[in-house]
Amino acid sequence: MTVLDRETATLLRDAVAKHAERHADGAAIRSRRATLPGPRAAELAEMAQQGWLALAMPEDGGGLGIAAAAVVAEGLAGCFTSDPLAGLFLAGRVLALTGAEPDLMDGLAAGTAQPVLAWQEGPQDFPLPSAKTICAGGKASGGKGWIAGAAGASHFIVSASDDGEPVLVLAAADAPGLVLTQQFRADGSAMGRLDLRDVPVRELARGEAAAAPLRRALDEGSVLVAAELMGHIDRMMALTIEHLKTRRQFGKPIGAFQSLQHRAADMFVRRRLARAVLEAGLSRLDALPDAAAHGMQAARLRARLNDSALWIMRESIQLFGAMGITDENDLGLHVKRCLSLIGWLGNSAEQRRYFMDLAAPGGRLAEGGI
Amino acid sequence: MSGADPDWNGMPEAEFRGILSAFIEDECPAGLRHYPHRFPAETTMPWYRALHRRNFIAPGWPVEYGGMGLTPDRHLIFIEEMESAGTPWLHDAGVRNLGPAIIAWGTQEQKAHYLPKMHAGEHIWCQGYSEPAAGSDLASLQCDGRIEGGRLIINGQKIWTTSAHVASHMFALIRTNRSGPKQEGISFVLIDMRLPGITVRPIENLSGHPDFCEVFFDDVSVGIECILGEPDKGWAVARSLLGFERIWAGSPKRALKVLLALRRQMEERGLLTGDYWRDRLAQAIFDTQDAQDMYAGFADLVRSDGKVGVEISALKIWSTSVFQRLSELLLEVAGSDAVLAGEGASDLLAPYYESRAPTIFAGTNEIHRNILARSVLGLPKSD
Repeated sequence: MTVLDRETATLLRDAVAKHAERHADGAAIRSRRATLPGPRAAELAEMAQQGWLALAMPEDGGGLGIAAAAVVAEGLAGCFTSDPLAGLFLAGRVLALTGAEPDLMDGLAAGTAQPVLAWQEGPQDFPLPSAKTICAGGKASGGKGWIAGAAGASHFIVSASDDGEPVLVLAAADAPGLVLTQQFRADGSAMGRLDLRDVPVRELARGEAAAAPLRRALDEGSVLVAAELMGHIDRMMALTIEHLKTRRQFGKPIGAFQSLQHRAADMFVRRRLARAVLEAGLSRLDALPDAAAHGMQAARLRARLNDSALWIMRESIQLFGAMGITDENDLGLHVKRCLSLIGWLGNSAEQRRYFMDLAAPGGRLAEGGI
Repeated sequence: MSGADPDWNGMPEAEFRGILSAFIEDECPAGLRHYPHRFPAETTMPWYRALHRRNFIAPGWPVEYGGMGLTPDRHLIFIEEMESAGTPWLHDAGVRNLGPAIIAWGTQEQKAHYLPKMHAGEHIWCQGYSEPAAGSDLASLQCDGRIEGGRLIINGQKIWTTSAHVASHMFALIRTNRSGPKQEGISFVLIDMRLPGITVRPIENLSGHPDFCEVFFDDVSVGIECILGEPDKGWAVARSLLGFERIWAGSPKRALKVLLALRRQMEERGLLTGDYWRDRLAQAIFDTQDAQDMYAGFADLVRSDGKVGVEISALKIWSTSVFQRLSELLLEVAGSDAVLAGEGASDLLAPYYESRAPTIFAGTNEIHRNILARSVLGLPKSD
């Protein structure tokens, strides 16, 4: 178990904040939409130099646990996106948790290799990520989608089924039979689609040794997304409160009207709740070795961050009025980024379903797990 | 009183829960469990005294005053065990609310006189703040206190005083000086309800229970030593206690109680096999457990610097809203059964009634929104 001490957290937070401030360029983000590699917080080399790509390392290999990765993701919301952090983090966690391919893990941390995780096959796979992709005799065939960070990837870690048994396999990006295409999210960032036909692969893990690390990595990735949402919530809220104080109508700041004050207060309730749930969850997650307890904690945390983000997005746009629906307002960059995140790695409906599957009647729920 | 107690905070959680649940099984009669309203005091006092004897009545007080000195996490576990066993609500405004204020503001004599009797349940306290013309605008209160020699002579009225009809004592805000701004000139007074000149009239609430009262004072004379803190400076005492009250008012334990009832009802009605009700239950669990996370976070802050910041209003708004939502979900789960008046644990309407008051007392949620808008978000004064 890793405990991120206060001092390390502060150093990390300050470094990320400085970077985000330097790179908070809305015009640059807009100009890179729907291009490759698309809007990014930093180039790979810089992320590696900052140490952010090593955050997924095993804890005895210098990793600092999910709480540290969350600090980075949250801070990078200051430059409107954390890309390509999450995609690489997912792959890194799978490598760390399976213990497979240590050289590839080192390459990832150094920014010289770019492995990404290709696990998803349907739009609501998060609660139960079972693969229809087949692996037999060292060759994989099937289709994967929603692969973050796929542009420029060096390797794909692919979840598959070998005669009914779950496996994780590694494919080189230039392997024969592998076709990568791109789709774009609301914020203009790319997500890969993978078509695999008899692609030669190397096995990383099999059976429970594949399923458990994949599940935990997805939980952690989902929490990383939640942390970035927290950063966007804070920034949308700050922009909106500033607007309420400066925009004047009927001879006074609109923030002096009690109806708007109460809406702002309710935004604060959602923001404060999200913060409390995020911090409480991060302080517990690394210490939860039990997969079900870990999954339930991660699911509840992520659902709250999704819901609070949607609340703050809606209220911010409304309180900005017509200015809230222009693409010129930086508020919109946060809104589009949140839309790109909320439906990935488990929207709230998926999180509730996942939670209840783990807490099924007769199980934890009946034992007082609630 | 506490010398032989084990280290409640240090022992393994399972052991702590085990001790509590065994104690509840032994001492809390089944007839008192899972009752959705507040019982009359005489019904619950044996249970109160059992908690006192075992030193479990004041979980949040420091150990040296007979409390358990629990950390916020442990305090939540304490509440969970009490709630999941369905232990009854007590007439405990004294230990819960006033006790911490006496510990913070009281003289040695006041501590020695009031704390042990409060702990033992010999004194039952009620809180006398609201008046007919001073509700949300509490500082405009008018109940009059005239200092004559070593005595304070009280005339006036309080209203919405919970449990006044069973209380032996009231802690009240009394106007002792009319010369300055309205927050000044208020004293925090500890009043023996058995004194001549006090009249109590219970008010029946929506659920048919006499939970709160009107209290009239007619030349009631108390010693000057009954003032807690300095005379005319009672607003500061009340504010600090409002802090404790707001933590309490934002406690997720009421919502947790309904959540447990919801789960029971859904299971009994065989609803948890379908996706729809499972999803609704998951949302209820998230809303409640998230309130627990926020509660524990604020309790931690209070413990580390002893202060309750203005952000605590967010907790009160959230927890009380969840309590109401869950009580309404319970009605949905019950279908047409919900229109029937039930009794005891099967009274499905009770949580609906019980969840109305918390969004009103301890500062209405609208007052708390004003506080957040002005003091936390820094929005301009509204006209």
